Formats: sequence, structure tokens, C-alpha cells
Amino acid sequence: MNAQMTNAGRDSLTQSRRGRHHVEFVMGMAVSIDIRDDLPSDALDEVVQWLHHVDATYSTYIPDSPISRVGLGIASAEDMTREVGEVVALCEELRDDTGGAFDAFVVPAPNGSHFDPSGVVKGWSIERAATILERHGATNFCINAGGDIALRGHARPGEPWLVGIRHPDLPDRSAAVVAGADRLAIATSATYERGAHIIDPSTGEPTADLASVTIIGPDLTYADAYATAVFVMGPDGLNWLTRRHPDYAAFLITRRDTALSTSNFADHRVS
Amino acid sequence: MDTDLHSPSPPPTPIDPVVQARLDRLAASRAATTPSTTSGTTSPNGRHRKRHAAKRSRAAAVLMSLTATAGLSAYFQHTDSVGASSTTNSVTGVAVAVATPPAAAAAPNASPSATAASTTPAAASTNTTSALADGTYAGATATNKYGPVQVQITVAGGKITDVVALQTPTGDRKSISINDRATPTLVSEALSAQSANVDTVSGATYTTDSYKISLQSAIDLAHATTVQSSATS
Repeated sequence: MNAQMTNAGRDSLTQSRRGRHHVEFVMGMAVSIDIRDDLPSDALDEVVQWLHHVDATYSTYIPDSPISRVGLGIASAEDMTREVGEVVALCEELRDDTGGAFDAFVVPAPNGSHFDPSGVVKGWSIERAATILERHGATNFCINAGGDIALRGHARPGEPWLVGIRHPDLPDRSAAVVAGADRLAIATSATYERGAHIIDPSTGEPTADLASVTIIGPDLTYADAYATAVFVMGPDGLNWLTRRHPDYAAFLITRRDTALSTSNFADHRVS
Repeated sequence: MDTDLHSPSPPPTPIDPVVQARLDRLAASRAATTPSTTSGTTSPNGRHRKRHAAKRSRAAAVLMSLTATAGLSAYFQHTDSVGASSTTNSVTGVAVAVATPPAAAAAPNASPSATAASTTPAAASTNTTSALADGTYAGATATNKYGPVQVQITVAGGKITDVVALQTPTGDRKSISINDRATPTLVSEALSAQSANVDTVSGATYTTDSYKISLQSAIDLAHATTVQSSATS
């Protein structure tokens, strides 16, 4: 079934028609690219190439990827491209902004180092992918990278994209539905898929007070990182987000079926 | 494949404002499975209306409109004689230990009712003039159909500076600190009104295996099929 879906997506790579829907398996996840515009076929090709470039450059599962060599302190000048420098700078910015709740420099990485920028790279690379599509003239599309979403424009003329926020215990149910149009990012951090893998940098221990944290705002680069940070901060993260980033909204689900949210979450929620 | 998870209904002609059109669509999809018994409301859907009624009552019970500081102040002025007498006048957020009456928690699906929460008798009369005195106040326990809710506020300089949920309907004894912009709700209540009819799903990063059985996978498959069929026609 998996292969069948991939083939269906690959077919759409080479055909020009009204709207296309492609699923690419890259960076250890499924990236769903849902374009509702007519586009030249090389637009999607370029996005797919970009995602594989990101995987090869920033995977901490590949021992000799540039980012692994950076983390292990054996990077050459070639590894430290301007782009890699940009990612490292993003990690520093987010560490300082979150008071260390998001800290890519202390989390153990699969390559044995203590530098894992994966929490930044995913959102950042999807925002870049969105920019590529926009450069090709796309105005209505939605990219879902393993549950983290960057959307543009509308799903249908005059209608916003409807985004379900998965219920922590029920994979096929939404705990809430939000509507997004023009430009919006939705990122969710939770432990129900990969276990307690979110590490509190201050203790080095996994955090598990919350069932899931969803952040909504203009840029997936930051929404994704804020989701991780708020997950570590716990409910107090709501206060942090409201104070520092009022253009982002948060929706938290606790282990006791209670949801907490910032008041501006109501601006997005439709169900 | 769970293609029944996804309902690829054709979009209606958009004549309403954007969000309203979507709300109507959601309501219509729910109405298809829920007999409508409502009257006197613009919503064509009983469940929809019910949810909003519940939301309203919950808002009253849990003091949801916390952003309306004036309203909150009025509420606590009303309960001032209960709360102030049982607390000290410290400005910082001193947790007020209040036992939850089991009876309150067991009240079966009654409409929200406020009951005095403090186990300490209200002795001295308190200031009932305009401004709130500085201090920490435990509000009355409000009981909705899910159980008791109690909120504590801290007042400094005549203004509410902090709000803490002492009790939640789920029995979480640990205080959840919320500011005046946060709104606790019950996930299970909203869940009953959710539709699977969404364009995409946000969730924790799934493994490749769990992706295959995810709602997102079903959506992707449905769309891929649509694209293919439109290409061959």
C-alpha cells in the first residue's frame, strides 16, 4: 500500500494538471504536498530535491553528514556552508529565546554528539519548501511534514484549509479543528508516536506532563520549535508564549483530558 | 484502506464569509448523522447547538471569560466574603488548600451550579466597596457535569495578577497555572463534535509504519486517487 501511494505521487511529478498531491518519504517521515494550483512539473521536482538535500545535510542519523561532523567537532570548511551557519544561528536564537527549554546543543543525537538541530530543521526546511513553490507561482497549497504543517492560500476558492489536531489517544479523531488561510503554520509536539523522546535540557530527562502541544502561527520554523519548548515548559509555557510571541497561539492537551489554550487560539478554532 | 475515514464531498458554492461557510459545512456533515431537534436557532444542527450551550455554561462555571477582567472582578467581589475571610492578605500566590467535597464531584450532569467552596466559615464582613483588596482569593467551587472547578486569583494593586485553577473537573489536584488569556476546556466534550472531514491533520511526527494507518495517510490516498482520475478523464 505504501509503495502504491508513493507511485501515485510519483506519477503526479511528471504530469501537469489542476492540482496535485504528492507524498514523499524523506527525513524518516512522510511529507504530504497538496498543491491546488496549476504548476509546471519542475516546481514539485525542486521541492523534492530540496527535501532530500536537507536530509543528506542535516540528518543526525548519518554519521558523516555535514551536521554530524559539525556536532562531533570534525567539520571541514566545506561542511560549514552559509546555510549550515544559518541553521546553527537559528538554534542559538531559539535556545536564548526559550530560556533553554529548546536547546539543540545539549540533546543527545543519534550520531553520538550533543548537537541535534532536527527540531529546527524540519520546520525551517518546510518553510523553505513553501518558498520554492511560491517562487514557481503557487498560491494555494499545504505541506504536511509528519504532522507539522505550512499552508498558503485556500483549500478551495473562498474556503480555508481545515486542519485537524489529532487526539492523543485516538489516531483517527481530531481533538480540535482549526481553519487557516493565506499563511499559517501548525506544529504539534507529543509523545504518542515516538514515546517520551522530548528531553528537558535542564534535567536531561524526558518530559511527559502533557499529552500534546500544538502551536499555530505565521512561520513553521518557529511554531515547531515553540511546540517543543512549550512541551518542556508545561502549562507555564502558555504564559511564556503569550508574553513573548503574541502572534502565536497554543493548544495544550494534558494527560487528564483537559485542554488549555491561549485566548487567541479561539481565532483559529472552528470545531 | 480506511477510505471511509475520509468523505470527499464536493465543496459547496461559497457564498458566506470564509469561516462561516466552513462552519456550515461542518454542521451539515454532522447533521447527516444526527437528527435535528432544534428550533429557534440559526444552527440547523442539534449537536452543534448543544455543544455551544455546554460551552456557555462551562464558561460561566469555570470563569472562562477571564479576559473580561471587569467581569471577573465582579464575580470575585461577589464571592469576596467567602474567599477573603479564609485567606491571608499576602500578595504572592499562596496556594489555598480547599478540600473538594466529594458530593460536589458526584453531582450527576446537573446544570452548572456554584457552591461555596471554603471549609472555613465566613466570619468577618469584608470590604464591599469598589476595588478588590490585595490578596489571594479562592473562588467558589463551580460544578459542571464533569465535576468541580475552582479558580484562585491573586490581586495586587487592585488588579488581578494571577489566576490558578485549584481544581479541574478531571480531578487534577495539581494546580495548573493559567494567566488571564488561557482557557481550560475538556477535550472529550469537543471530541463528540469533531468531524473527520478535514484537509490535513497535525500531530506528533509519526513513524513510517504508523503513517500507513493514520488519518493523514487516508487523506493522501484519497487525494492521490482524485488527481489520478481527473488526469485520465
